[in-house]
Amino acid sequence: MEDSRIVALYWERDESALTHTREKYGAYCHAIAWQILHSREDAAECENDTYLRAWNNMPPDRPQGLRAYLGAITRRLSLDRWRQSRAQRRGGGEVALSLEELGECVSHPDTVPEAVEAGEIAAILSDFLRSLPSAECDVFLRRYWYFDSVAQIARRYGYSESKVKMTLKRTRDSLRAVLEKEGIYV
Amino acid sequence: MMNFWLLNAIGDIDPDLVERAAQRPRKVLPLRWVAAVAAAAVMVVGLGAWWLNRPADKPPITPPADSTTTTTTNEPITATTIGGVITPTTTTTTVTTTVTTTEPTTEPTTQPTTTPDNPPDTGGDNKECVVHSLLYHSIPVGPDAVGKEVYDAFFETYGRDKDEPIPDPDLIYPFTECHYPESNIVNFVKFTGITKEEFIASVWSQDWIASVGGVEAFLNLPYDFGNPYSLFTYGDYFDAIYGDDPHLTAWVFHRRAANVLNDPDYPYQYCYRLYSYPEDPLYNLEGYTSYKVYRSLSGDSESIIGFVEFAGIPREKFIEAYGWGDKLDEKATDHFEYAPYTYRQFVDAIYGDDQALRDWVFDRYVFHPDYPKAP
Repeated sequence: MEDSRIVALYWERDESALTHTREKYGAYCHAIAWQILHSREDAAECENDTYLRAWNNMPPDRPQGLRAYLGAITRRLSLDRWRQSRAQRRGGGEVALSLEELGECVSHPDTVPEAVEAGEIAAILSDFLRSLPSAECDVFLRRYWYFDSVAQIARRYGYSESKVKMTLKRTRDSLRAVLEKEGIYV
Repeated sequence: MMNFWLLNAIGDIDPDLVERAAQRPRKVLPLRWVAAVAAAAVMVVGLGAWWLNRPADKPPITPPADSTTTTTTNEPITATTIGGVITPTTTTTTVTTTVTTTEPTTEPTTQPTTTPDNPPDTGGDNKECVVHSLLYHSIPVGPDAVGKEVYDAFFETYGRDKDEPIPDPDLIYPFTECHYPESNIVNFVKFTGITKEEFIASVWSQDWIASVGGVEAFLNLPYDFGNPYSLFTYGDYFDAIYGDDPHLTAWVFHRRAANVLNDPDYPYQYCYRLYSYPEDPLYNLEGYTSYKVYRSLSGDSESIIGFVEFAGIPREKFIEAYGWGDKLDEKATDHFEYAPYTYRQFVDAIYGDDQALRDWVFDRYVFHPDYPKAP
């Protein structure tokens, strides 16, 4: 079913919207949650919560890209859950590694810059990523949006792991420069 | 928390960028894959010597009573750790030729194309590689097929990185049920020397294969118990392990790994009403896999009700499996925190004839708009 039709079902408060969403994007949402949580139960719950959140948010939301819309919800829910359970977890998987890597981009990571609170930073990040070659942008997002491991990214794009690491390092350095320029490097 | 604002901000970027990153990239065969094929060809030579000299006292596969005998040619296994000369061998293998009365109703599977996805890593020192991992419930190759000594020796060799303890006991590689990514099926067949025919026989001797209609129907069945979204068959799977077509091997195993978790385009049908996890008590009840196959052939949706009817699971056994005997009148908080129904109502919905109760319970089982509000 077309995304627009599924969104229309949400607006019509037709519960079959949930079934169609699950059939079309259940695996996608589950994969995102799994990458963050590495727990079947937690991933399944985040996937379910995604549908609930979508149900509650449409209307008024009318996303143009349903997949990215749902993925963003799943990602946020999964990160929240990861944070809640982090103290009880051993290690922390790719999220912890991503946090550590992104630490290079900020000097005082505990301080939330004003631009974040104002919701401006997403636009700055989008502009920055659009300015990159598409391959570098995709690698960055596979790492820090989807939380793929370096090995997974290497397999996905046919790169060596060292190339992936170098690409990510260069992009983080560039991001740091952009954040400094925008006054967000706190 | 440290840097979380940055991670969250990344989550709010332009959806078009996110969408593009979700698309599977088009790729060409990397040189390392070509090199790997060449290396495999050299190693194939080693298999021959090992094959010709392997112990002759392996227990024969006992044929079922209604079998006929056919002659097949073994595909050479593609690698071994022992050097030697390769010689494809011809052996006599007994396979069941039961008349197939039920054909899979799913659409024919897509065959590998001439431009497969990027070939996966094949293990080696990549400890994170899960591409070839497959030693779990759906392919019950076990000690009976290769002998307990060999079986145990394989896990001693590949079961863990010998120099390190389990890196994280909580980390189970996706859909392998295994802490050790090198405990994979390709390494398994190399190590044990189990032939393609023996491997297949060890699988089709299972009851659920008979329910499909025999080995031929099984080999044509879409992988994952006939999952209509599988892009390859069990026959493709065995060819990928034993065949000499690197494109097929790459395609099948890449799809297998990607299909389940990593490929956003794969519409994997996640079964809410009949969990497919070994942790679920129903999973271990007799008839579970047969029902999965039945469901895939009939095109019916999976459901707990369908399963207990199909497998003839009595009410008492169902309650016992879940351990609900002493809390039947409690709210079914195992399902979700604010479940409005009790375990007894849930069981009654499955086993009783009150359609209104059944509708009420299952309308709330997963997808009720009030969830998770307290009733």
